[in-house]
Amino acid sequence: MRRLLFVTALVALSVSHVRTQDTRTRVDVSKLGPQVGEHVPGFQLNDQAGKSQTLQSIMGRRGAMLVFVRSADW
Amino acid sequence: MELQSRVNELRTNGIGLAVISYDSQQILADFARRQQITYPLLSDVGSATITRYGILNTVVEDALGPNGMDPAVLADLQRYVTGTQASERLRGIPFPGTFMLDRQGRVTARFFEDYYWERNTVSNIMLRVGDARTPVNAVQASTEHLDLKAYPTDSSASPGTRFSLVVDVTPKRGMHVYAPGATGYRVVVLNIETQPHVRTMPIQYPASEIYYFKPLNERVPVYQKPFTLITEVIPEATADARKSLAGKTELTVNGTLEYQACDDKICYNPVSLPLSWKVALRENVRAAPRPAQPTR
Repeated sequence: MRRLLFVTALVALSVSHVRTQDTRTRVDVSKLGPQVGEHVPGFQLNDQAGKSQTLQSIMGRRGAMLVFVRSADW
Repeated sequence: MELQSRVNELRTNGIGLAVISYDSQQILADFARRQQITYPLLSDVGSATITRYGILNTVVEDALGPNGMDPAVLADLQRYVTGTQASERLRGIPFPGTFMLDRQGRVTARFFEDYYWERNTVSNIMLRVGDARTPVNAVQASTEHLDLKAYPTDSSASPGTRFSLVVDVTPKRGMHVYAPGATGYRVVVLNIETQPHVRTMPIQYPASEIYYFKPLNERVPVYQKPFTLITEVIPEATADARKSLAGKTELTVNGTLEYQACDDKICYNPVSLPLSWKVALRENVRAAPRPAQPTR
């Protein structure tokens, strides 16, 4: 009986394992967010000095480099 | 930060710059003061903009959720988020990356890395989008067939920074060298010596032109105008790599430019020209990936 329980537990474990891997979508960072040729969404965010900035306000005469980072804090 | 040292270069090129993170304005103000940052650091508390851009780091949610111990989730966590374990403060971070935009806000190029600790340098991005660049530590050489200038895009690099080794080649008058797709001739190639913990990416070739050689009624892809060969290099940021690179102040990458040149009468012997690139190695300030420690 104990043996049977153990086998059942093992099967349950492997099933739950397969389920999460199956339902999990692979990350492909190249497909995330606006692609080449597409417009990026506008925004209105405060900068470090409390000044409101938008896509237009950060633009140079030929365009802009918009960098997303994890955090400045760590 | 590397960006601050490039602000003027970007401005000269007419490129505005802003950095977005989920940090509060207070944290950004402190950071800007400490690092003497003059470009806008934008505060996206709550990550609404990050989410609207479609680049919210979903791996964090997975890792903090019921499947947090799933090996696939843990592997993604190590790759896309952190070398240690998931924590609440990671909620809301983006997949780090850079968009190059035109004046209308259209994406002209984008740079997202497969490993969170890797970053393109600004110079490398400018090179990739075909913008002006300032050669650093350039080495010049001439053979009887061509002149060349070899340089790295950056004078210094940290573990995880992606920069490029560049060779500008100017064939001498009447000369051509062979481009990929040419058969029966030696195609110009940049061979980079492998070394531990330094990853080298495949060479990026520019478009070639077809050369018509009448005596043989032959059409071959060649370069006869000035052209540039680029190969990207990444000093790895793994624990092993850091150990091996520790104490080194300079990274030297050696290689050779191999080519065969012909003019309209003679095909010369193949040439192998030794080249060397040097960049200073900076200590990386960012958190380094450490061996997996799944403690949850």
